[in-house]
Amino acid sequence: MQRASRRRVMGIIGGIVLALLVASCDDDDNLGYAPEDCHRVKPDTGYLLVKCTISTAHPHVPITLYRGSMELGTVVLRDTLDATETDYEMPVVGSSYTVVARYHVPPDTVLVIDAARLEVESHEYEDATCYYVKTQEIDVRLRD
Amino acid sequence: MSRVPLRAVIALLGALLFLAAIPARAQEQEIYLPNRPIGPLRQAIYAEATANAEDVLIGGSLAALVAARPGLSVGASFAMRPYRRWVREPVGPHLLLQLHERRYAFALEVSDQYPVHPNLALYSKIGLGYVFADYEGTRRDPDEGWYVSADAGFALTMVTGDRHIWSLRIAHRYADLRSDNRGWMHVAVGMTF
Repeated sequence: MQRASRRRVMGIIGGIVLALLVASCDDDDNLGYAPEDCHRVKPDTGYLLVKCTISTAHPHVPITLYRGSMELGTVVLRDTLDATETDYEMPVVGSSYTVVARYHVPPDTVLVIDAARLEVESHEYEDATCYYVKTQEIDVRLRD
Repeated sequence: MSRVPLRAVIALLGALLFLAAIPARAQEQEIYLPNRPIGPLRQAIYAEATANAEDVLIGGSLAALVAARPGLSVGASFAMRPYRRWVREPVGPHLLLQLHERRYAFALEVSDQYPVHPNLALYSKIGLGYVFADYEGTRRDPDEGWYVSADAGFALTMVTGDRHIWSLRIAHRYADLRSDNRGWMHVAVGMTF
């Protein structure tokens, strides 16, 4: 077994054990009072964090962002990335966002595809309901 | 697979599922460890992990013991890959897709144990299942389908109380889960009660 695979397997086993331990603890339903940075109105937008591979072989990576799937979705934007992480503020919609990144790996072209969905979540406090949209990661890094 | 065998397979799966889903219908089975009867037992539940160097699936199973033979049981299992895995798929000349894949497997199984020591049994299992998968961000269909699994290994057992047997099963599994490798290490921890 390769070292990276072994690390991954051990990480997963550790995660399962940790999840079981956490799940066995009692939940504290009383969250107290809302924090100062509480958003009491549902946000309309959230952030997509697009991760790509930038290297000497791939200094610029063209991407296409779709609303929905690659085949049926509509193109929201096209961009060329020169940083490993780029975030985009997007409307919270009922469908996922898909990113397709194009890498040229001679003699092949590799299209790396990933998707994520922005969703409004909430926490109930004694004096308010706070809303937030968790930043979603879209991983279109090139794998060996 | 032609239509008739497919219907036969579905009928067999339905029958096994009926047995597994209603363990109370199965007659109680007297379990005897060597020189030690431990009373009537009817069902078993396991947490399971199936892994090789390239892939991991975790899940669980429920089984009903069959009265006709000590150690024999029928059951159902579900497993899923707990992470997204990168796969590459050629789609044309010099054009590859690199995709995030999720994978799930459901199976109906028959297992048997042969005690060789108060705390050790040889263990075997065969199963018939279906493996599902999906990709992120595309409507392309991953490789899915029926599979047959076969396990061989051993089970460490420990009796607690009058009517519980804790088991740790470790086995080699053959199963074509549409992954890179058909050989797996299968580990299950559970209780018969």
